[in-house]
Amino acid sequence: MSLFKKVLIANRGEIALRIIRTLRRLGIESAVVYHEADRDSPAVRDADEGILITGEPPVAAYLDIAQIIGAAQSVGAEAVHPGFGFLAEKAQFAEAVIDAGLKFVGPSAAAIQSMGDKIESKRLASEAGVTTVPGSADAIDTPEAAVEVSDQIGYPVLLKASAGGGGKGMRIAWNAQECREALVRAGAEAEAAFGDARVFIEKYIEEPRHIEIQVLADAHGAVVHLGERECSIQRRYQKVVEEAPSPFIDADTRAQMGEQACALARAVGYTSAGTVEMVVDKNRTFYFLEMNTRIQVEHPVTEMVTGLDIVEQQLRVAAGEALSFSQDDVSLTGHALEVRIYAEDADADYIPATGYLHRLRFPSGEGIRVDNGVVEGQTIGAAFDPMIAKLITYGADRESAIDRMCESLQDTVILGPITNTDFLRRVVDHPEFRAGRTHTGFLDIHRESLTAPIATPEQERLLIAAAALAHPDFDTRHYAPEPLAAMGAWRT
Amino acid sequence: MSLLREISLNGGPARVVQLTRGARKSSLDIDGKRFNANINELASDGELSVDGSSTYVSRVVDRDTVLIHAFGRTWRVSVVDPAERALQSANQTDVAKSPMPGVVVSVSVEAGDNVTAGQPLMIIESMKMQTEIQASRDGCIEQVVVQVGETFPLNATLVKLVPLAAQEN
Repeated sequence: MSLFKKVLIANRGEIALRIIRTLRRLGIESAVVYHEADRDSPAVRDADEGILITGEPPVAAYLDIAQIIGAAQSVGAEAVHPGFGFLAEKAQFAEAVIDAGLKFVGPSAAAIQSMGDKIESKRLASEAGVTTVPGSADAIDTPEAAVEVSDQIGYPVLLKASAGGGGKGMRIAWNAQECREALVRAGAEAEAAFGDARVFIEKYIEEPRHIEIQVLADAHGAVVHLGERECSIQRRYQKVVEEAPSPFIDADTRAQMGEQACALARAVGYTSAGTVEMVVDKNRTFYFLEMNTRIQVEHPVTEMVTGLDIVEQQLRVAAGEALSFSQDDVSLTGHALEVRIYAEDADADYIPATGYLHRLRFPSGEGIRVDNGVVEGQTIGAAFDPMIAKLITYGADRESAIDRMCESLQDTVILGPITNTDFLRRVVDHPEFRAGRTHTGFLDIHRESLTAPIATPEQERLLIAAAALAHPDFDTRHYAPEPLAAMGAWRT
Repeated sequence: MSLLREISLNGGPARVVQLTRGARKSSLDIDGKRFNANINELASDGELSVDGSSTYVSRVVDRDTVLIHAFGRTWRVSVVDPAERALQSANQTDVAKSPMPGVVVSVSVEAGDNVTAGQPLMIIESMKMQTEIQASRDGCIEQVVVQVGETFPLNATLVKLVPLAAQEN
């Protein structure tokens, strides 16, 4: 069976570029759809072909199934790679691609559908023997029933409003008495907020770590896992720093998590690359969260430690090839770290930043990978996700990967919109991160020790001098005569 | 010839700075203290020294801000003309500006409406978070600058009030 001649990428930014790289290496032509706002982006420049699609707001273009299928057909692409985000996990899109006689670089529409539904995926996981967070099957009505269920689950427990959201109607109980009180309060809060007093109980996970298993499956029944990634460093439920392997997971736990992840993949007839997300408590007990039926943003750390190209594997599986290796052939070597560079102000509650990108310099060298989607002279707007690049470092061990990341972040020059580059350096250099003591509350509890240090008097002098010498106001060669200078802000 | 500006680092305290340019060395006056500065310019990047201490800097000028990469970090250094600052702060309450970049979700006022301080003017959305933009004072709407569905950068003017100065006239 031969690989494709041409593949359409239904995405933008760094992931589009990253897919182009693999296509090129495999001798496959690349076509990419783009909205006018992305005309000057490097993905459009680097692809063999670009097809303009329209939509307002611009995001709508990348969500327009009919336009994208039309684009694929017009350039004669044989397959469509959805990347991540946008249409990547829309079963309807996978179906439309297949119906158009093209190959979808991802799992079947049915697998996307069943894993996309929270209740259905948890039920399937449970049936496949995957550990799920213990909890009540039905709503709990009386304090007595609440205590009975909680005794079975084991404290602490979390009482959640059925209609919940935003933390309303959520209570933690550490013993039977707190549980009785919490049920009454959570019920009242839920009634007031949602008009629905039903409350469920589940195990409360202390110091939860987000750890996920990468799986790969072909259309011939082979399923393997590529070990785990830890992604506990999050802000607003979005990952910021990822690594492989996890400093917390031992070989035994890895094997058990891997086995369960593969069991779930088999149960839903999964093909292509997918990720089984788990939450792991402080005793290394792990529970299923959800399965992502696409390539993940953080896939590079797995590529670094396994030596595999996951996009290549996806393409081979989509073309009908069998996996060329088995579980025993997969080994993890060294340690890899990824940070997500966002255009945002980490010191001001992560508000997104926009602006003209004046200067962009990434480091390069051994053990450094940059998955970047922007170029100098581009304007970073508010129309898309604020992630502009990913920096990945590799080392023989975790410490050397962290050291290399710190240096790489210090050598990364991004002048234009505010980015979290400096913040990321403080995170990976934090003593608690270096010690591997991570959990999803990390950025909140270490907020104070992660704030930007102020400049020393010597640094401030140098920076003021640098600014004064650069600023046109101080350039006497262009000094305006008095009447013009008096116009102040109005001069152009 | 020398010129006076207020320079502050990453939103920190403003220093009063005077610079007298020389052919090779310039003399710099920060809050009344004098320093000798020297930069070996390679376009906008170069080795900078001030009274014996030195560092390598990359810099670009973006209107009133000089963006500098130095000491392994990015710094935003604002250079303000005290005379302009005085002029701008007088006009500050005449407009509602965007606290973050985003898109307009809904607009609840139109030109000519009278509003009171705290009254919602519009709802904006940024990264799936909705934020209400409120009137900073009592007044009359002069213009709604952005429309529903329109995107805008940080610190963009969203709504203009009839200026206080104009009302008094």
